[in-house]
Amino acid sequence: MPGLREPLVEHGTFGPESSDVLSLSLGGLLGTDARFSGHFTGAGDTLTLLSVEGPWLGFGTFTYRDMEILGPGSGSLEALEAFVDLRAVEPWVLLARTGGGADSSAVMMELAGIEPLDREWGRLAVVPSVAWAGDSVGLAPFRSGRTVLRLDVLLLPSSLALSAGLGLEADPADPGGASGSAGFHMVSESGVCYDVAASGIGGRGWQLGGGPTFRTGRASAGAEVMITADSTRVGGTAGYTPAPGVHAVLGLGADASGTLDPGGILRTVFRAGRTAASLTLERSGGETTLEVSICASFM
Amino acid sequence: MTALLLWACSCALLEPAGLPDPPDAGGERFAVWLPGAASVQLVGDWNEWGGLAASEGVLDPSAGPMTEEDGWWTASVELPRGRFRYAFIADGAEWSADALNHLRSVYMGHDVSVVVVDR
Repeated sequence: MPGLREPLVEHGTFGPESSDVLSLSLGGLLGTDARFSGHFTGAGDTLTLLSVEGPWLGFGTFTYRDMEILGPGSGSLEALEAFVDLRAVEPWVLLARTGGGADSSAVMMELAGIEPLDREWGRLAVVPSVAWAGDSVGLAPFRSGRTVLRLDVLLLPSSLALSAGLGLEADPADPGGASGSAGFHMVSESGVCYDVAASGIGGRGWQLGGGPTFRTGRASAGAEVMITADSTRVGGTAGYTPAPGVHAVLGLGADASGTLDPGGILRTVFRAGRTAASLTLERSGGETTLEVSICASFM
Repeated sequence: MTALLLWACSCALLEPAGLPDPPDAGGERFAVWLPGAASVQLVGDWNEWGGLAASEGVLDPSAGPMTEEDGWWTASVELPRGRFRYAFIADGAEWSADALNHLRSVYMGHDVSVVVVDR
């Protein structure tokens, strides 16, 4: 079940071990679509999913979703997601409820559409959001019993291959736990890809890392430095692609004490029509793994 | 002469490349720099993650095809208003979020990106 950013519940959380599914779809009624499905699991639980998507009304739309688990592991989750286009700003609101009590509700609001800079090469977007959850809410995007303020500043490309992002998150009840992250990415004219990322949580820790990677059609080479409050690690990679889909990458890392950590990966991909197969041999952390996968599509 | 060559070289090293045009005009444009890949697929909420969203689903090799030119893989997708998570899968196995979009989410443990379509 999707949320505004992170999903409220992912597929697979309940273990899809049964194929007994009943589904029903209705659409076209004043532009509203409704879907219902019932999943009868091998564990004796019945999972029902209902979603109703409202039409675009010229200024906004909504989606209602309900998930019920009947049986030994009973539970429920309701979510209402709404979007309103106010021209200058576009609020997205998500209301979620996991039970009957007041402490089982959660709300999240995000303001999209704030773009103080819009140029031919790119635009700057500012995305503030706030999330609050009751004490008994255990959904991934929320912190139980907490209010979380977040601000994202994004440099989004239009014509140039560069981007940047800055994220700040704070809980008014725990100022020391404020966290931040920043990232930069660019592909240069000569085929060098630059990545830099930094993150930190209050006074509890931080890390800074990144480096360039040079890629051509056949060869690649990269270097990386990772610095944390108490360690420094450097690494390098070299790759070769003799034919499309055949990759060999060797890597070597070392920490400040001089301990080396060699590794590598060899991957071969075969494709014929709607069939794909791959063979991967990887050496990492002193262990070697071999993976073979084959997939064919008949639809 | 050497100084001129070094200057020209450093400019090419540090000057951002231009983004390629997608194969089809209109819709949301997606681009990723992956020279050497045999295939790159664009998967997301709108195409059931290339089949992975189905119960015990596997990746459909024909889902979300992208077109390659000079190392850039591009695609354009007509999306309705809404928020969609997406990622690139190179050679049927290598997941990557969109490095050109720092608005992030997760999908089944993978770091993915989010696009907001509001027009």
